[in-house]
Amino acid sequence: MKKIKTLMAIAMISTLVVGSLAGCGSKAATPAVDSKKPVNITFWEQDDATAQKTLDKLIADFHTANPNITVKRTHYETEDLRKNFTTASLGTTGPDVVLSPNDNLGVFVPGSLVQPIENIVGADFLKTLDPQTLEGGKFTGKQYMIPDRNGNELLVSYNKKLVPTPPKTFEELEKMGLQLKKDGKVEYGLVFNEVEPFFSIGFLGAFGGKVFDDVNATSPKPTLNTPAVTEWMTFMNKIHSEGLIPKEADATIADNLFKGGKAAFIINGPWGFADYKKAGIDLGIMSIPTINGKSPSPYSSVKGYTVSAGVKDVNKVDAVKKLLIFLNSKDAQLQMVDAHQQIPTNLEAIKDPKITGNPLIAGQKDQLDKATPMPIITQMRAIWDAIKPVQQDVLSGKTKPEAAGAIMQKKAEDGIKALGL
Amino acid sequence: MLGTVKKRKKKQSNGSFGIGQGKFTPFFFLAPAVIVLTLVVAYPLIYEIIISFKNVNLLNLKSQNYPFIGFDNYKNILSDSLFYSTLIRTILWTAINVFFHVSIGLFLAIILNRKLPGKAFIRVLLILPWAVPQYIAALTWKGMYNVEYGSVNLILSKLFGHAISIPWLSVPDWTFLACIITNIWLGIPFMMMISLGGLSSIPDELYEAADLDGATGFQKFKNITLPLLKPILTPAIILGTVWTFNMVNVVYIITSGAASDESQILITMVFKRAFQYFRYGQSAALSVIIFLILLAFSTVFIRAQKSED
Repeated sequence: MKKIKTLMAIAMISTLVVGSLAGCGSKAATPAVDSKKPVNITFWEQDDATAQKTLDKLIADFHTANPNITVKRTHYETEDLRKNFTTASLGTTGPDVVLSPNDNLGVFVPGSLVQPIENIVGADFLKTLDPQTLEGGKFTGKQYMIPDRNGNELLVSYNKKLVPTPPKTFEELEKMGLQLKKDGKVEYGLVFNEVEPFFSIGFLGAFGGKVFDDVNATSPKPTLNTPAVTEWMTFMNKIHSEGLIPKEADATIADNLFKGGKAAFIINGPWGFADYKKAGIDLGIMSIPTINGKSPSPYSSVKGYTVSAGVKDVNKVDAVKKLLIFLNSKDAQLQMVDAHQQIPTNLEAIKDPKITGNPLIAGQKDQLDKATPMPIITQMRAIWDAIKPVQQDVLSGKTKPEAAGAIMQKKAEDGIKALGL
Repeated sequence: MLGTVKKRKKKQSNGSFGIGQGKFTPFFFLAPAVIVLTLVVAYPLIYEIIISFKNVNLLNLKSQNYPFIGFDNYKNILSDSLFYSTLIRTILWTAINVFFHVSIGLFLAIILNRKLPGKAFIRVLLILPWAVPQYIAALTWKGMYNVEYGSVNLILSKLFGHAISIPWLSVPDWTFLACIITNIWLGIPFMMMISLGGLSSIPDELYEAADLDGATGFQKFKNITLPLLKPILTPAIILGTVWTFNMVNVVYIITSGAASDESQILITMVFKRAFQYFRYGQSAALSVIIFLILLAFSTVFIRAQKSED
């Protein structure tokens, strides 16, 4: 009895020691790829629920084709994904592949968390993708991301039952919305997320403003203390106080009002379409109409795959390559389009009738042409952080629109300093 | 009995490693706990103190090669007026929360300690806030605070008979109050359960004796209940204070990511600096300051309680 116990103890201790050492050992670099060796890929994403289901299906298909490669998918919300990836990179628990918006590059690249993607998939594969969209996956001139969709732009969705003929200008939209409200047909004419400035910054473009003097400069300066920002905030204050938009609305409230037929127009991205249709809304889409004859310019961005700097092992590199090529094949991208309703990046997929013949996707073309690529430099975080509370204070009446620009500028400058840039 | 049998057995077989006898035996039994505590408490704490003296940011995070900058992180924090205004708000936040947690918790516990119809059911109902994950609870409350569609304003409007639209989520002072209300709701069950446990351990004879002496209800509460609850309430209040002081979830969610500087507390400031601005060194320094504040509070509080005895 005693001996068995001692033996067991020794066995267990040695398992523990070997187990804990296994992670530390630097594996001898074997140049040849062993395609039979089991490989585990940790995959993090921040996609919507429908896209997650599609991803699971694609991963299952991939596993059937490559039985030795197991992909484990984990979902995180945008902020958590960035935070956790940064922290995990210090240890060995981070993901191998990450699917997220390209503004994460502003954190991932300076933080040395990801590696140039060409090393993984090769230049030939990149040629199968839309070159214009590939630009969105570059940081400091180097390709770090394989974009899988182009868009993420905001546009107007409207309820055709309430709006038989879509307005041509924002002034018309305003009139229609206020009239519908007056007639008791809706609670609000227009709804959107009033908490996150991402949803209103498109209007800044209509007043000729932008947030940086030069995005490509080595140290871009924020340009928020400008007449354009004052006009933008005055405009926000106006549509808020005249009751065109709700007193308070986050994404959930905006969505629920629109889905319940209690709002005629909503400014949101293509990711909302599937949900609106499911709610039985007779959906029409259009670009955000002109204000004083000038088009608003919402931010567009690409979303795509990045590979962790920790992926070094030849077998893993090979497996990741296979996975990325599979996920960005024509067929896989078309399946993903069903979920995210944005323009894919695979050149063959773009030409597919499923894309060209889909009014909800083809209808985004015009807005995408008017959109501004969202700045993905790290400093952008300070800009968002500066605008968010001030916009809220303007809407609640605490800050005058004329004073907003100076406060935002100060906050943005402090924020950039805090980033150490 | 069992011990001696085992001891004899071990002495018989020479395969034993000497465990189970000798003066170091207690240390062997303590070892697992000590090792776990060292790994999960001492190591991170020491690491945090070390990096609070270094410049750790996004650019050098992965290199693990952080330049030593002395007290610069501390100087930066202590020379920032935002730190002091946030500190005052945090103290206010903690004091109000803990006061209501204890007073309402104790009050409910005393009621529950009596004979009450449907007591079991009421007790379950009162513990419910504790059973809901904080994240979910905070999100639900946030929904209820909407100025037009939230149930809080709707109920207030019904109660007062005219439309009430308190901008809970868009004016920082109201948002802060909204956070306090949510957190009071969340924190009561803990204090209630602790007090209830304490109350049931007070012997009935004491109250009977007091009754014979003609003591009033308040006198009984002041002279029997409170003093006897003290050994239980003291650690609970310290725990409650530390938890409330460092409550990220409720504040972060209800203020939509601590966007406004006027409704955040120290811990959300740490969170923002670390994970939005990647100033790991500076947020470590801020965490050390918070640690020292809480350490000072606990020490003084325990001393004061002891000296009263």
